[in-house]
Amino acid sequence: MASNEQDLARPPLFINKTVDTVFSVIEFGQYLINGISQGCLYCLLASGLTLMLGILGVPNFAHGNLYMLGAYIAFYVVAFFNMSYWLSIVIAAIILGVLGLIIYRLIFYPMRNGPHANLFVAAIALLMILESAALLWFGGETKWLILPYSNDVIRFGGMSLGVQRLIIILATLMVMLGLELFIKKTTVGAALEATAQNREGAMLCGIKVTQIAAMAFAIGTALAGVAGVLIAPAVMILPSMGLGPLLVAFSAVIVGGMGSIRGAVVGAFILALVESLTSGYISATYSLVFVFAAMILMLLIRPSGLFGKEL
Amino acid sequence: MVKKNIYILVLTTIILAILVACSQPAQPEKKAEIKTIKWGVVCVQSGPIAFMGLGILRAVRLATSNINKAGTTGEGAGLKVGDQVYEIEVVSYDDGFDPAKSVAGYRQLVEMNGVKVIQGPMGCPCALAAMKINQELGVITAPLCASSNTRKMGDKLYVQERMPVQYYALPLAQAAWDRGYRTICIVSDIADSWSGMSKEFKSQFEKLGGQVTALEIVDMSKTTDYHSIMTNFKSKNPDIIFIVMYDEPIALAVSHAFEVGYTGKFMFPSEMGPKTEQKIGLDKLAGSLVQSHEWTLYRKYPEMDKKGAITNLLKQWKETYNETPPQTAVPAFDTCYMLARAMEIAGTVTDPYAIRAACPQALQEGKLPLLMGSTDMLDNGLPYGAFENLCEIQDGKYNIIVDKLTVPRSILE
Repeated sequence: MASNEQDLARPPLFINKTVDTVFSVIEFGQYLINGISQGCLYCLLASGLTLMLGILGVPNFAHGNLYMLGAYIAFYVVAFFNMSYWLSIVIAAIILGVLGLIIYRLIFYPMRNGPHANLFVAAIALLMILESAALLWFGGETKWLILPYSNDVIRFGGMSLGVQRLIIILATLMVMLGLELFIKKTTVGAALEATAQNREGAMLCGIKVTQIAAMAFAIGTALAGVAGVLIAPAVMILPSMGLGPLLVAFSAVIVGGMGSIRGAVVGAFILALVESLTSGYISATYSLVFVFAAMILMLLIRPSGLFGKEL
Repeated sequence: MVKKNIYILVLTTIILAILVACSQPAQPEKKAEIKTIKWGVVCVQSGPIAFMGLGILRAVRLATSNINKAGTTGEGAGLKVGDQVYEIEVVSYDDGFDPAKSVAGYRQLVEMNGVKVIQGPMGCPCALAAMKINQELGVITAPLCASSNTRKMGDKLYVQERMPVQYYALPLAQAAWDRGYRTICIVSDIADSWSGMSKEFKSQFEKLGGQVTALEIVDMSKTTDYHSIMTNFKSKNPDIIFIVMYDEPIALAVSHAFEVGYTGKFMFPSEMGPKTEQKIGLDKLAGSLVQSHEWTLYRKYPEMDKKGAITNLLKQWKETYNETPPQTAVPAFDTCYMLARAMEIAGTVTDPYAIRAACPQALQEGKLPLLMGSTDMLDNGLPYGAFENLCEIQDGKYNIIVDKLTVPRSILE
């Protein structure tokens, strides 16, 4: 292709910074879209994490593996049982919600009054058990969930969005709206948020913290399962797929303020946008460095996170 | 008359004696007892890339089973060293893609099983770790590592299973230039082999006058989101995007490129498996270039396989394992035959130096049912002669556009 033809094919330029470095509105818009769709996944993971973190006081390291299980459930529901992909969202939410309850009752509940270190070790052990079990059950081979619209793309104003990414955005919006309504409009929801933010305070107010904690675990794991189902058609499904998103989701919880769902949502989108923009404008090799640098910077400015209580 | 009778009697006696002698039952030939030699395989058999390691192990099992049944050159069962016939028994160790475990596996197979040949490990970190100890243990190492660093180790007991990919950077750069491509964006895995190839490609392509407008190095085992990389590439409007990775991560990167609206061409340095082809859809890759071995083509178009060796392997693999072999299987299968034949030529199953020295002859004789078609084994351990093709995808099919991506022997030596 001749160079003048190439120039004609370039997206419209907004500001010419230098001869070599140009700023394109369309390119920037595309990075925003990429960041928002990725942020939705982090948001689902971080919301569940922050609920558990607020109640248990320790991070559930196995959360990424629950997300991985959600992806496998979607794969088997659709590819093996020939059932609807949409149904797999409900199935994964139920299975992982129940699994969350079992994990809480069998592992974390008996340890609730013991040293915090026990909970840490239990969470790490759970991470390893779930990953090894996935290797044993599902095998080490990559699995692809291919849906009829897997490669379909929506184009608008020079930008593009894969259909699955649009589904992720819309589904996350619905789930988060539902969660917000549940927390703000129901007594149980208010008790849940109160326990996540201050366990002792909630107990003093007469909230049955044990039941609320079990519910928080079920909701948190169900959210991870939904995130796994949503991402399944867009990634390689592997037993180790949960670790990367988990790290960013943890950072989002810290940025947003521990125990705050709203903070987790905002933190997730901030970090996803940092990741997307630095990948595009600087280098994908170092994008996670910028994500963690942003988290540290945020903590230096506001040690309790954006929506956390002042220390 | 008496004289005549005596003459007849003597003649009859002689004839009878001859007949008796001839009719004597032959002394049973002392048939040599078939002995067993152990053949080592160290590779990853668990974890996310287990399918590639299992490809090596299963290929060696299949090749040794064939040798046990029909010999290395099809001239009778077993591995023949002088009058002695050996049956090969495979012993393996799962290194989990961990260099420390590769070393442990080498020690275990040598010290407990007495192997003189180990195929694997897979991956350069594991291969380099194993090569630190194989000479000390007195065992031939045949790793699968796509880096050229292994050949620089000076290991006298080393044979590489497949020519390292980075040597293809030169012919690929030339082929891209010849196709009229002048600007290229590259995304490469961080592994020594792939990043080495992408840097070499960049250097060669720029020497030809081309321009690499973006080069991103990522860890493909951890990267799950290529959207922003592809957005950046799309904004640079390249003639082609070169994705320097394995099979399945290629599918992920390409699908994300489509999602951000890239509609141009790609170039891949690796064969695509059935799952990748299904995920991307070959019809969406019109004009894209794929570096591939004949194996890729024959898998899809068996009628092209005039020699039939690859079709036979695919059939045998399907019957035995009920699947399609991964790309690691083919070089492992060939290496197993080469080393077994080298034992026959060297006349020993215990002297690793003599066996290694006989490897070039094992390939040069051209008697083995090889799949890759290597014709020589260089002193530094690199196989030579099995060149790959460059295909262009058109109408959902692969078409060969460069029959052999020729890598000069002088570069390899």
